Amino acid sequence: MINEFEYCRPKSFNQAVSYLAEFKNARVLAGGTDLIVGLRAGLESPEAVVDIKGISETGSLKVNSKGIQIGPAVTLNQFIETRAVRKNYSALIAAAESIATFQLRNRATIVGNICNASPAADMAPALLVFNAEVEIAGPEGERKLPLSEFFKDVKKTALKKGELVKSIHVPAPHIGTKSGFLKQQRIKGHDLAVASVAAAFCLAKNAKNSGTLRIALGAVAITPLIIPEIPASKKEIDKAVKTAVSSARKIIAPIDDVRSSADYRAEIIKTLISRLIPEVLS
Amino acid sequence: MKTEKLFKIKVKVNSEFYERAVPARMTLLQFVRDECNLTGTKEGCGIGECGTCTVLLDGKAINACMMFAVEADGHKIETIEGEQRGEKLSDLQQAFVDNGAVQCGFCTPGMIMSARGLLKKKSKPTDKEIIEAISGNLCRCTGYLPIIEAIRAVARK
Repeated sequence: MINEFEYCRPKSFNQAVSYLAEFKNARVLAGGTDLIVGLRAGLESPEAVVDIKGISETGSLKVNSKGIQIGPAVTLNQFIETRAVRKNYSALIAAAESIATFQLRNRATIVGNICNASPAADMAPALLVFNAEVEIAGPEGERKLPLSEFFKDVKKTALKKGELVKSIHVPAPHIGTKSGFLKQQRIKGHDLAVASVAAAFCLAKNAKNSGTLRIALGAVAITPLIIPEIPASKKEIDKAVKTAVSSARKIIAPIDDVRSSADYRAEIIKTLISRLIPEVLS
Repeated sequence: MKTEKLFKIKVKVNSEFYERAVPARMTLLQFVRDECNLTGTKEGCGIGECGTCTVLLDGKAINACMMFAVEADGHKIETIEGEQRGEKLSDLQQAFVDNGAVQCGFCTPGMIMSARGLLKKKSKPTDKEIIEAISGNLCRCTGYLPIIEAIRAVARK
């Protein structure tokens, strides 16, 4: 049974911020697919739940030449079904499609996946390789933060008391950028990632083969991780794989849990990296 | 003891409007079953894993256990009870019967609503789309093949 809570449905971000600041322990409700599981399990018992779907901008998904602007109520399926996103952001689509089941994707949101801050959040590696930025509204006004600085610990973000995510901005990739996402899981639809990897390769200006490779990893540390940019060439795929694997080894800190042993995670992440790099460099 | 605050909501379920005052913590599933007395929608896991509570929210399949009734205020819900027309089964219900897609029957309401959500969006889905649409509905009896065949049969009509 879920404990009693106050239900607030603000009409503006300002109003949402004041609710979040006013109550001792308030939680944002967007899709609810993580929150309600937590409430039912008694893992949390907030004083208030702030449903942000009454704020009209929250459902907005804008795609233009500058990139994508994702409101906090944009569902995974809404995102997946947006044609303009499918074209240039393969890693984001692949990650979104890999999450949960069809029904859950009709409710679960992109921003919620990030705010839940699971180390295994599938959208995180994909958004990290695109240099996504988080736009935050709070009692002290608005601020922006690179997504790489947003995750602080397991289920902990950089959001302070009274703050909420207003949108995620994904800058448009350079022309010719190729991206992808791979995830190891025990069964499809009903499992979290054992480990995941996203990669994006961006050709240098006027270059045919050389450019930079961005790789991000999920479920192999307390937060999603981004590997420092790697200079790479389509002619030297093996070298790129070797560099990426060795950089990954330095930063991962996998754990044993119900889904996998730490050793297996360390091993499978290497395999996923070596499978994905040839895809984005081809 | 303080009495719990109630929220007035108006939800269209199938063809009828239901106006009720509900506590914020009531799930849509509890609302449909206990307030509307539409007990065709089942509770399995209660945490969005099994899909037997699947209903349509504004035409899209969702888990009724993963949503609060207050969130449904002003929206349209469709449940398994909305499938039948008088004595006549819907095309999906009839196809489930004809194809042996029902064994214990506990997953059936959710399975049919997921299929309905798919067919509303796409009247001629591919097998891949059928499988994807019911990916959130667990069935422990049939092995899924008769269910896929039943949905395919309706799509072929």
